[in-house]
Amino acid sequence: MKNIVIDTCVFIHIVRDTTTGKRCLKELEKYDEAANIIVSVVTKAELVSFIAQNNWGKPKIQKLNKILEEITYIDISNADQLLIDSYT
Amino acid sequence: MILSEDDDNGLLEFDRLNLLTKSTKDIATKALMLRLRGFSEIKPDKSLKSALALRLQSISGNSQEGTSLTIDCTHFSETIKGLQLEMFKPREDVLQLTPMALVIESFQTALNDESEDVDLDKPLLKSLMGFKKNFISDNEVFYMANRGTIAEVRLTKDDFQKIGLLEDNIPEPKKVIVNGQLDEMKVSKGKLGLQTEQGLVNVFANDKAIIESIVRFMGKEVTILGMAHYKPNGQLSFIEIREYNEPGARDRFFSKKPTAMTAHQQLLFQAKQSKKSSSLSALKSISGLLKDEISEEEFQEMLKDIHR
Repeated sequence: MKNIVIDTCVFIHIVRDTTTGKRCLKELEKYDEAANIIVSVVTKAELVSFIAQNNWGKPKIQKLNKILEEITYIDISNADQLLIDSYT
Repeated sequence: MILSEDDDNGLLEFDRLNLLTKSTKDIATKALMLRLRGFSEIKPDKSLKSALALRLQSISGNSQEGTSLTIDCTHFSETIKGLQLEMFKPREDVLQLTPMALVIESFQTALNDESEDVDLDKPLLKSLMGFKKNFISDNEVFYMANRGTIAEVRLTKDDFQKIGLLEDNIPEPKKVIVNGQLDEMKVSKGKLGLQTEQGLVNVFANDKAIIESIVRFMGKEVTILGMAHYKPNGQLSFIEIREYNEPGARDRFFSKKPTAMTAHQQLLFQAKQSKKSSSLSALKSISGLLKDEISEEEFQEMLKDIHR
């Protein structure tokens, strides 16, 4: 089983169900049907920051928070050599 | 007992005997310090040194039966007296052991399948790896037993691959800042407890002056700068205090346990802690959930923001 970290733009394309979002899901499925999907804590911060800047109302925030609760996050650690190596 | 090589014949060459005794004693010393002080590299004081005595009682055997060494040592319950053991973890079970039993137990712990979660620090694992030098061939087997009080351990050269991996998994110590309340109930021999928003953190200082002066923060908030030491699973083991100061208004940000988990360890940890699904099907299930919540204009703005 592969662990796949998805970026913020992929995440928002998917939750908005755009053509790109649909294509991303298909590609992920092709790559590994049983993949573990993970989101970096940076994505969470970007989404929360966007809400704050755009004065979203309570129902919208609640809906997004519910989605965020379902996601598995990873923190980025400078001690994680494997993670750093995977960028090279 | 040492088996399988021609040299394992009831005799031991002096250099080999020297390496065997030195590496065994090193493991016993580090394992005891880890149990008592929370960090294996702390030097034992005079009384602990004598409690770690390992005496070679006899050596026997032949080329068929191998070389058997009988070692005499005393239970810590008879040699360690009046120790404050309450810090780090209640470790009174160590008193039921002997130095040799600690060596056996350390190997068993390192070779256990669940060893990522156990308390073994880097210096102790290095010492366990150092024992590999006692092997003169790949076929040789070392058996260690403690008169049936704990399960015996059987070591081959291959076992050290696992110990090496475990050692590599332990993150290097790193500088951290942690804020919390100094716990009055957890003071013992240079060690203190720091209550953070995420629970108690073990802190200690080698420098007596630090311990003597930091006590004025007892029961109060303090911000500590120090070196964090980690367990094989990336969780914090303890912090060695280098400096400390009165907390500033924004020091609350540091009131969490510093961890050094790799992405893989975080996933394992989260899987154990919660029932969150991280499968592709979960991602599919949230597809389109914010379709009506995010307008086209907002969506374009979000994409721009991300790439800014």
